[in-house]
Amino acid sequence: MAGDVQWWQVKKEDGTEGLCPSNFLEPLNMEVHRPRQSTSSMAELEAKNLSELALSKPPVPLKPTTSRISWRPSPPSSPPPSPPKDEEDEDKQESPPRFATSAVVEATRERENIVRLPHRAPPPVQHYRTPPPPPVPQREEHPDQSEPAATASHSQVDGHAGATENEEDARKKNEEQRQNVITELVLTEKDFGRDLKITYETFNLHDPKHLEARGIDANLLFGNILEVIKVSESLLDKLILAMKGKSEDEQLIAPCFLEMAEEIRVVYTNYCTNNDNSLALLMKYADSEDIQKVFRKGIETLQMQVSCFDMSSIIIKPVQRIMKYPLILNELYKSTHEEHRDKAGLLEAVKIMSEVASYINEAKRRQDIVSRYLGDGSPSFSSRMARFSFHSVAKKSSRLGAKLSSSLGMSNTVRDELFEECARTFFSLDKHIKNFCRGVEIVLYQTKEVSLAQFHSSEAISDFFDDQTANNFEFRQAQKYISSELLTQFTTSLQKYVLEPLNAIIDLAIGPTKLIEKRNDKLADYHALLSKAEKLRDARMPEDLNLAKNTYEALNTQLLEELPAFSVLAEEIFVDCVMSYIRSRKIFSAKVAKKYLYLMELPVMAGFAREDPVGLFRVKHNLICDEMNNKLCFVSRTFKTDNFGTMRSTSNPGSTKTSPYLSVERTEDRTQSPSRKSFLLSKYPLNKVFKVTQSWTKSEVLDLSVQEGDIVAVIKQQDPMGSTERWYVDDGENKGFVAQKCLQQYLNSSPLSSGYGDAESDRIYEEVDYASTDKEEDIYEEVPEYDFYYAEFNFDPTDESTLKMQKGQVLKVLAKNDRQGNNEWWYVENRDGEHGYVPSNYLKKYTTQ
Amino acid sequence: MTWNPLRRSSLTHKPDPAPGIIDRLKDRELEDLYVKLQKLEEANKRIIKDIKKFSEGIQSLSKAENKLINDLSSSASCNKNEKFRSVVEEYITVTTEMNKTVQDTSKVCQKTVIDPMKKYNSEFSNISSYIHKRDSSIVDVKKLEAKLRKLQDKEKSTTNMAKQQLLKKTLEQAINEAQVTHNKLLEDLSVFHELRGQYLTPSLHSLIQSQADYYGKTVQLFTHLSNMSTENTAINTPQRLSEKKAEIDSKLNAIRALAIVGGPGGQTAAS
Repeated sequence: MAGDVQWWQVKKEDGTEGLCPSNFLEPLNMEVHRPRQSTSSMAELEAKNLSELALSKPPVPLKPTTSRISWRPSPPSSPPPSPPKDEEDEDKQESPPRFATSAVVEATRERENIVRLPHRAPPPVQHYRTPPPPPVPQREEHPDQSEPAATASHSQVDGHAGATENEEDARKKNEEQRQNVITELVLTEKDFGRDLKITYETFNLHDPKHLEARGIDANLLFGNILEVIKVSESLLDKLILAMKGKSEDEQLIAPCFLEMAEEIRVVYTNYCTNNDNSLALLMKYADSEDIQKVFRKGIETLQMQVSCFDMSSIIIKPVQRIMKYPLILNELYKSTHEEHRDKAGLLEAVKIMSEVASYINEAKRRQDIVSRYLGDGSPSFSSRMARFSFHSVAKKSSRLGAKLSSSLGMSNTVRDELFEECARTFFSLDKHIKNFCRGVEIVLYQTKEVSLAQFHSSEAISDFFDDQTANNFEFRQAQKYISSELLTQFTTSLQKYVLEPLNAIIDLAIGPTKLIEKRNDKLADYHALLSKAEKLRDARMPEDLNLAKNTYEALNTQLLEELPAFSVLAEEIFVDCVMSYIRSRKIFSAKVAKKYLYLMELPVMAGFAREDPVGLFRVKHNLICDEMNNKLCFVSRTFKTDNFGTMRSTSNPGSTKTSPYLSVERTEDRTQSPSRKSFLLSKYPLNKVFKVTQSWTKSEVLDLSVQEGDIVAVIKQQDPMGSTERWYVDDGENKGFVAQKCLQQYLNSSPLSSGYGDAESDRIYEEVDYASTDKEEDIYEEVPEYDFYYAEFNFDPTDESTLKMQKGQVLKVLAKNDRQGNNEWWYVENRDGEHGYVPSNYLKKYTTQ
Repeated sequence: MTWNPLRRSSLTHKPDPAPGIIDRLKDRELEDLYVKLQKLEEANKRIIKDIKKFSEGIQSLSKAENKLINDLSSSASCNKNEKFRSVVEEYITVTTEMNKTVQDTSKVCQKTVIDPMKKYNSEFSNISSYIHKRDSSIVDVKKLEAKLRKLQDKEKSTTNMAKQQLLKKTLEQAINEAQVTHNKLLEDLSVFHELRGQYLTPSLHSLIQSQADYYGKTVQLFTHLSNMSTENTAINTPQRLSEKKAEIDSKLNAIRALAIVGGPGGQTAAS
């Protein structure tokens, strides 16, 4: 029943038939024929058949010895007999591999642990050069097999078929053959899937944790074995579906493969390219006793059900399987009758599966090249020097030349636009990620500096206060919290969510960068060789050229395939990281702001108006300066004039414009609305409310412009310098200084007695509610009236308080005198809102006529 | 001690002790006060330095952020990825707006903290010369004393006695003057020292206010930007954060699995 694949039964053209070593034969029309594939499949078959042979029931009587005589293997030294050159009959000459019937398979399984223990490894290739040792185990012959092919699935070659040369017979034989092959396909697929599943279960791959605990990288070792199992299952389902309940003519095998081809390609490519890594991993694990124990245990369990002898033989299974599909399909194709509906599809399937196989081969080769170039990662100087040979110098210089000529457009370098686009995206991404990382680091550093400066300043302030009041205690606490707690949070969140992933990407990008360089080098090599070959008019393709081309193409394809994936993933991470950065930044600011809000709510801060900290500060500051001035004799004169200077400098129109704090006291000439008047009257006690008896235009930053008839509330009856000539008043919207002479008590309109004590005004000052509602909108605002003049001449400012104007420029005159009452200088505003003094004789009244 | 006269401390000379001339307790008091003032000057300088640092810090922070965002906005992925671009654009708005806030804050810091503190600092040189004045009055006394002793050592002529009488009177006057100067100095300095809190408080409040404004404005700007705020508040919980982290990790692993990266196979070969 069982056959030894090493011995095939053949028939010569003269009609003699017998056994001959299979390795002496070669199929003549195999489209895909690689040593690798044939060895693996044969090895497997042989293994199978051997065990089956051992099991097989007492054989039927021996074959007549004559049938073997002609092809008795020759001694190892003698040259192998040449294979038969028959062309017309090749189909009949080579018999298909034989396969066990299902009955035998069942029998095998029952006893396989006994039988298979001395399992044979797949013999090495050179083994085939020496013929198998005689005597070959007895084999049986079924010369007139008449059972239906579906049940008799063992292979057989009808000895009579060729002799009769009957087409009907040949057809019948082919049909049987076809059924055999299909059965083989299904059975082996079933076995394969079962083997994998058992492996999967034995090693508990659904939960790789216990393997990882022992230091085994299960993911890497077994790759996507689960996917392979799934693909195999669905292929099997399709095959069974295609056969079930259908007549032989209806059984279409090819579509199963055609439908699955793409999936098979992806999944198996993945597995096979990983295979090298897992083999390398196995090598690494060989030293570890602990891991070996796990493997041994797993294999022992496996050997009860699956034919295997070590880990690598388990892992290699899918690789062997994928290489076998083209062979089986080819077999099927050959045994399918021309008129069978499956014929055309099978041809296609053979082609596609061969393509898949060669694609996988190609992918593996590319990966080999890639990992070779990645491998020499960071060579030490000495190893660099060791490789510094004449060859490498020549290579490098020729590359340089090629690059130069291609950049000058002299050579015929083909530009791979697609690749360059990929590379460009990759490089730009890499660059921006690096920039971003650096930027984030700088921001982090600066944030730290700021927080530290805050903290140190709080320390210094507390040193300044010494033990005086607990005024700044909270401030210091807050700063401490910010610079330790919050800053650490900020740093860790940036590290964890931004810098770490991005740095990982930067590290990962080193490999591709190197490969791109390598690819460019190889391209240059290739072009150099190409142009050399052209020059020499060398018709044959030199070995070098082919090699260079292959290497270049392998690198190029691999990069083209994976670079975009890299870029897309990296970009996604990048965007995430940018978001995380912004989030962290925001959260940090929010937490700090919260702390400050708490500070602001402290009672000491209560008086602080949010609108104008500078103005308020100035008032308070001037108060204390005055006090110091009065109490201390040594305090220098500059103590106050200094301050005055700073105040003057703020009246510089530029700064007034840019700072929202300072722009609060921007001059607005207009009449006061009734609503504001009533607001003032309701807010302030009546004796504080004054009427403006004559218009007053601001001439200082802190001044307030008022119109005759306006109502104002007096907050303090002196200015910061202690002079009682100017009072600090509130007109309901703005606060500022107004000359005392313009004001008159609102209620009795009697002239003001200047007898208000300083003590009292101090008290008033204290009780002012600075947080007064400045926000009240005035909807009844009336159209303002302005005096417009235009400049007759150009005027260049002589100092800060004067305003530049150009001939013809229209200006709004705010006051027709300066602060000293000198009416040669007028205070004007230009269209940009800048204020300043200009000489009045430069101006001319603007009339609409 | 630096070469920069602005940086140099003014209070470098302790007031000379004057035993016998000035009451020991008062002398001691002045000495203590002097030490305190020295500390005060040092703290004052540190405030100036640190606030300057703060104000420069927020400016360079905003510069760094601007640079960062400009780099981002020039990246190709920013132009292609719609979501990314909108985030970057909003962030640009934040940073530009921030520039203004930063300018304001530094200006306020300069005006309300640094300038007043500098002014305060300059007073220390006045104090120093004041102390010097007191020291020189002590020196005067000492000189007179020495002169008197010399005269007393000489033979006792009438002219000498008369001179001594005169000198004694001058000495008494000088001692008196020195004591008055000393007391006045003591008084002034303690007042000056007492007033330090009052002097600094407005600056401190203004500082807190401006810093609060700075951070508050930052948060406000971030919060107002719709895209980012909705995106970010959604992923603020620790659970979402760890999910995000896991997502990033899985993507990183996907990258590591690529052959061109030089996966574990390449690494083993290298090692």
